[in-house]
Amino acid sequence: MQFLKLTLLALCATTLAAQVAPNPVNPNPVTPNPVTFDRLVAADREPQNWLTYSGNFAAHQHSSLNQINASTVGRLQPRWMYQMRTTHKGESTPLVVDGIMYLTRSPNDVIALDAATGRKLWQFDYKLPPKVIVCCGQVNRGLAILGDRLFMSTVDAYVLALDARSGRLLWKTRMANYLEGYGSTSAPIVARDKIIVGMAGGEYGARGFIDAYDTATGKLAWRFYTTAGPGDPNAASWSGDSWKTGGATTWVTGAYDPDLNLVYWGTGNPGPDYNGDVRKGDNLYSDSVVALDVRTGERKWHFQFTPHDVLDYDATETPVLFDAEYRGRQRKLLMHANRNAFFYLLDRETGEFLLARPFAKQTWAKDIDAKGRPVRNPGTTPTEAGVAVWPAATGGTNWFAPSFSPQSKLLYVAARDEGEIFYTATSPYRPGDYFLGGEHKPVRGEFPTGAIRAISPLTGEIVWDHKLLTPPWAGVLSTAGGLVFGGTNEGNFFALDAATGKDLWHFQTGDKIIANPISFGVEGKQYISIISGDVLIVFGLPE
Amino acid sequence: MTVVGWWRQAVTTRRMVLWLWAAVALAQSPAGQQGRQFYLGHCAHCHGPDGEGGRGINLTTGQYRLSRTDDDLLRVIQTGVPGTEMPPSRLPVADIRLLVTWVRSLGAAGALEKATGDAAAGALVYRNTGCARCHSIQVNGGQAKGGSLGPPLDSIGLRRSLKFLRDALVTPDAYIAREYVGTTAQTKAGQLFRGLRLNEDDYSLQLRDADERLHSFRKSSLAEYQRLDSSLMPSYGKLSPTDLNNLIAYLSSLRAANK
Ligand code: HEC
Ligand code: HEC
Repeated sequence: MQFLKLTLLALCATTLAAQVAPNPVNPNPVTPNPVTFDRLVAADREPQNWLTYSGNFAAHQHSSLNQINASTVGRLQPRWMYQMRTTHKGESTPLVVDGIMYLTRSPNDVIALDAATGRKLWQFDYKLPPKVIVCCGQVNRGLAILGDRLFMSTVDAYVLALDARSGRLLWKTRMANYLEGYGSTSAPIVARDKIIVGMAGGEYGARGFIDAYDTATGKLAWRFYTTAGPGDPNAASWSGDSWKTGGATTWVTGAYDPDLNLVYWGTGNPGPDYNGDVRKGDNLYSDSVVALDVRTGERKWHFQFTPHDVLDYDATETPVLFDAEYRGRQRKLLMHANRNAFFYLLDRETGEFLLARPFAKQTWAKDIDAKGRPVRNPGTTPTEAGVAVWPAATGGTNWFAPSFSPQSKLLYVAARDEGEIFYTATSPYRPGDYFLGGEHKPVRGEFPTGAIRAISPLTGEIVWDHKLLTPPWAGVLSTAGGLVFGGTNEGNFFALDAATGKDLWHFQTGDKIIANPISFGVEGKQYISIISGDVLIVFGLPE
Repeated sequence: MTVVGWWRQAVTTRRMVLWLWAAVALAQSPAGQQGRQFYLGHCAHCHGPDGEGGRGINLTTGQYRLSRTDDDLLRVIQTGVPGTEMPPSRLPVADIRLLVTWVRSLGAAGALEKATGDAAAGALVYRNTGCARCHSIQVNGGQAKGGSLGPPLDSIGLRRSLKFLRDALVTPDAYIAREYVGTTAQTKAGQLFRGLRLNEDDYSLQLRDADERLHSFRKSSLAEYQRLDSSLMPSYGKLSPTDLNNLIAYLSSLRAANK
């Protein structure tokens, strides 16, 4: 039976590949077929490829390949590796298109590899100016592709288009001034003829925005500012001029609904991070999800998770889209496992709040009220002498990917159970300088832990919990093989049973894993890849 | 007598008055109050609320291993002291300047942190009590002698205050540095191991036992394993007060500069 399923799958994969790509087999690297917008919309129909940062527009971070499953995963072994040779952190999620893998190497180089052998086809080197400032390492987390163009945004705040066949630079557009702390580290999303790009700089008093660029010319199509300035109906949510340096940056890739033609994007903490006195009010649209019309960049709705945040609880984590019946009605939904340690369920047509429930240790909120607004616990505002609050500034989860399996209907989240002591400090704004208004430090004597947790999205209940020694920095991948892959700070790459959380397989990679796993297929064989340290490792079943 | 009590008596009255004057003047200024607040929040749990020392050095002496000028202090507070527990601070420069001023006021007394005991006699206590079973001391660039279950003590007098040294000997469980946490491991066959936790991931555990033997276990082969809340070092609170004072004097005299 199992064998039959496998053969069927292999057949399916081959016929599928044959439909979409005339050159499915990989005779000495093929030229991939242009990735049309229709292919991106129907990405689930070509599971051998990984066409967008999160695998599909709904950001499921899921693979419907199932050759690697509970009964075969025990034999998983490295098939090839690629040594990036960089001292920067490896946080990139590759794309795979018709047998070719496109990988960014931090800060902003791009490498094309034959996905079957790991051999390099071309490399694009990007030169950075000497004084680039980004808070948390000069990293890049991935690419977008449309037609035969690759798109990348850079830590010095440019957007680039490259020819996917050669790595040749096609256009380069400046987003903002990097000397003022602006930069970009996340993968863009293609939405019809535009790419949607986020930016970073929340620790430097940058003003957040989401940009759309024309894929053909690189011209800015629109910009949505994520701090409400004069003219915006929510301008009163900032005292004085504080919106100008209010942060709310957009440094993780969002999700896209091509039917509603709305892009969903998470926004970061308000600045300065830990001292809210200089920015009284709710500070919209910080710590929110915004739904923007792709044609105009207009805001359709927003939902703010942490109003007037002073604990660095960015809401930039990837929103995940799915449709289901909720309280007797079929709905278009949005899930968000938030850095503030609560899981949220929203209606993605209207932004209506449906439910929230904690998925990691938290002490900052007593409750989330019927409107979705937190009721704060007393004594959780930073002071000069410091207060201990859970979760830490690094959150109940962070930028790394959650995963939704349409098969198990569960959301898998890499969760962090860690607290921190939060302090205030004076923080004058100086362009290009840290603008924090405080500091955070470990809770003395605490050995923080982590877990992979499976959340039932319609109730927020935790269905299973797989404990980890330390709070993870790696994303998860679910597969139709009934597996969930994840990684640890200690270098373990592992596979769990998606239904129960049971540990089925693990491999010691030798370095900290701070990246998202993906799955792809070449020549009818399924692979799983992950970056550990600065090495990309591709796992497969033995020949 | 407490260490604090000791230095209070030891400084001359004139110095004391000067110090008090400076401290009071500073404490009354808003900047001083703010510097003190930052100090209490960020530094006091290591250097003591009054700078008397703890895990961090005694700051009432006004003497620093690496700093002479205010700019040196600013830099050392910003960067921390790599390889020691002194952490870097991400506070803005303006706030660190307030801290420098407060640290200076703590040190204005110029108290000498001098142990009351006899260091030479303490060296004998060290030898006879078997400290070298777990600790090494490198003398004059020679070979380090002793065990490795506990930290090397070559420069312990520079790194730690007198108060901390006493606490370390009498109540070793009160504070255990991250790298010196102990662990136990019991195999399914019932064999029990205890030692320094060298490394750990979700699937395996490595330790070095008191006899310097290395062990690595698959967690799946263990019936139980546990990180210890208590120190691997026994308490020496039973030593006579004289022996204890002498031992502290000896430890305080260990000031290898290259560490
Ligand atoms: C986790 C404990 C810890 C904390 C917190 C800490 N220190 Fe220290 N500090 C130490 C230790 C240990 C040393 C001794 C380092 C060495 O071996 O030279 C030290 C050394 C120093 C020195 C001497 C530096 C020199 O030039 O030799 C100063 C001054 C100092 N600390 C100030 C501060 C201030 C101000 C703060 C708060 C912002 C602070 N420390 C926070 C542990 C700490
Ligand atoms: C069985 C092994 C063992 C013996 C014997 C032992 N120690 Fe320790 N010692 C340790 C360990 C492990 C630590 C680190 C954990 C802790 O701080 O308690 C330590 C810590 C210390 C520290 C604190 C060092 C620092 O930098 O924080 C001092 C001082 C010290 N020992 C002195 C002594 C003296 C003096 C003796 C003899 C009277 C002694 N020890 C005997 C194991 C031992």
